[in-house]
Amino acid sequence: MRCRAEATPAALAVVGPDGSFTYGELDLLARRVACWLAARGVGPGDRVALWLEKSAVAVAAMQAVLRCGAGYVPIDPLGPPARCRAILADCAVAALISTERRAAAVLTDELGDVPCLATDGHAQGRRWQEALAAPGEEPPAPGDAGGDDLAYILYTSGSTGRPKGVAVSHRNALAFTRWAEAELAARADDRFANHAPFHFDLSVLDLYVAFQAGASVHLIPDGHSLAPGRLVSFVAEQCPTVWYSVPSALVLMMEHGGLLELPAVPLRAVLFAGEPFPVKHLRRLRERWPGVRLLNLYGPTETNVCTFFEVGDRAPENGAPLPIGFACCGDRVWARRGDGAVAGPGEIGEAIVDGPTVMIGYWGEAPLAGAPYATGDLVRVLADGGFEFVGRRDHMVKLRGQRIDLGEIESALVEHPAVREAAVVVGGSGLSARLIAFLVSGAVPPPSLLALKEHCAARLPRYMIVDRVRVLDELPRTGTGKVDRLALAARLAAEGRHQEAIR
Amino acid sequence: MIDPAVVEGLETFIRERILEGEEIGLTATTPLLDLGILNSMEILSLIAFIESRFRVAVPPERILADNFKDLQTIAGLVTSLGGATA
Repeated sequence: MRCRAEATPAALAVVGPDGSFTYGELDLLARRVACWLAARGVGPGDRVALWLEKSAVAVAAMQAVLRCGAGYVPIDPLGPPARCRAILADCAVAALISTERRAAAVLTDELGDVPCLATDGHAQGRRWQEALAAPGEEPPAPGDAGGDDLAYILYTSGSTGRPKGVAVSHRNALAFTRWAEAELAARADDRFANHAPFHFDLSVLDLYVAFQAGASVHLIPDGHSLAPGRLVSFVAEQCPTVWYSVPSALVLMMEHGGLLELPAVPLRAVLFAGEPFPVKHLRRLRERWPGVRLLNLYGPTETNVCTFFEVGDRAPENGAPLPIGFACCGDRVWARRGDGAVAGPGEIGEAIVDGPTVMIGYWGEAPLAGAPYATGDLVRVLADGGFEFVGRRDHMVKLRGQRIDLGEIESALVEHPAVREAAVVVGGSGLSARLIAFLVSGAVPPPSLLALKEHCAARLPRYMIVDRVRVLDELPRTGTGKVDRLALAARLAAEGRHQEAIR
Repeated sequence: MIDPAVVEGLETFIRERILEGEEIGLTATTPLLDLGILNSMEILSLIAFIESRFRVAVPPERILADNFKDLQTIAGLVTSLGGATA
């Protein structure tokens, strides 16, 4: 970004709901914020949390943190303060960049004196940017922050009931963004749409591939996802050349926003990741936009992107799932069978990833130290050596592209005084999938759905709030004493048939 | 002015169609988005309902989180669009 600011200071860098910055302007604001951070002792190895709505200012804040040699921690702007507080404490942040109202909601005595920069604040009658530092002032050099140092931490759902921090180094991130830049042949006249929130790893491509190429990134405000029509208007107005999102967003835009009715779009590549793209919709996309590259990327947050598949001139036939394809970014990917051997064509195994995109480790745990990462995803090896996603080994699910560990919801539910045991399963599929909680409650009457939703909303991100509750006398168990999730799923299916019969 | 008949119509739709009859005691100020009662899919079916029941068109630029946070604000949106209950 700094090189771009020197080479093309007048080129457009970021367009957000709060305004646009050229590379020169972005660099100036990042430098000022970096000076503010450095003056508060932030340096290499530190973590700085960003709890901000998606905005051009938030992009400058990320750049500022990196410039200090520290790592940034983007936190879900729609999440509850309790979750933000847990994250601030977990990675012991050296500073917080947020707004005054948000900061007041999270900074408690237990967190000590975490310095907070409020991006809506005023000091001595000046707006916060002007109060930061003299324009000419330079932050101290970040010392010897190298490729293996922390770049950012992304918190994902964790089975233990606490969010887990995926710590990513500069080397990890660059292995991915450099691959993507070359694969897309990104150019300075590209316009990248940024759909994903900043705490979601899809945003890494939008921001950093754009900056590497000297292109512009166009931020889709957090609220737009509610209205597919607004997302389609965004495409019509901002004219992105590269789009990257979860498939659900594209399907909603096609089905309810009129995406495919847009007369002409300058898009040259549409990328998607996070969940399987329904082939029925993919075929329509391919037929409507024959000249647009369609790329299916795969990889858990822990490995950035480690495989990709390019949809050819013809989309796969209905019924055949879209492959996740072949290893990329310099990674080696293989499927490990239950007996430890490498799976061959036609066989299923757990996807194992070894290479430059594999994270440093989970924050607070021993680093992986270069060991391969076992994803927990089951994949089938195809005849051509590529892979196809089959499912999960554990209780992690994807709902509309959001990764959810059901154990984390269950842990939150049993914190409720009237909940003794809880098991959560997913009912339905695709866009109509719902989180169903089966509970054992000692209370009469048992807690209401509203009460449980309020309880979840105070602890979990919005996409992890339970949709339905069923109270049981006891949870069905398997012979080994584990909750019998298949029996719960069968119960839901029977309920569905009953409802159909009533209709 | 919020029309109580609009609030009631919206409440019935959300309870019967979105919550599938689950009785959760929605009030005019229950936070529908914060509690995950409405998500992007459900807002679409709610908008289709609003458009047919109250005979209004909801323009995409009015589909903002601020306009859908609870029954009261959705009813306000319907009224501002000239929605009629008769």
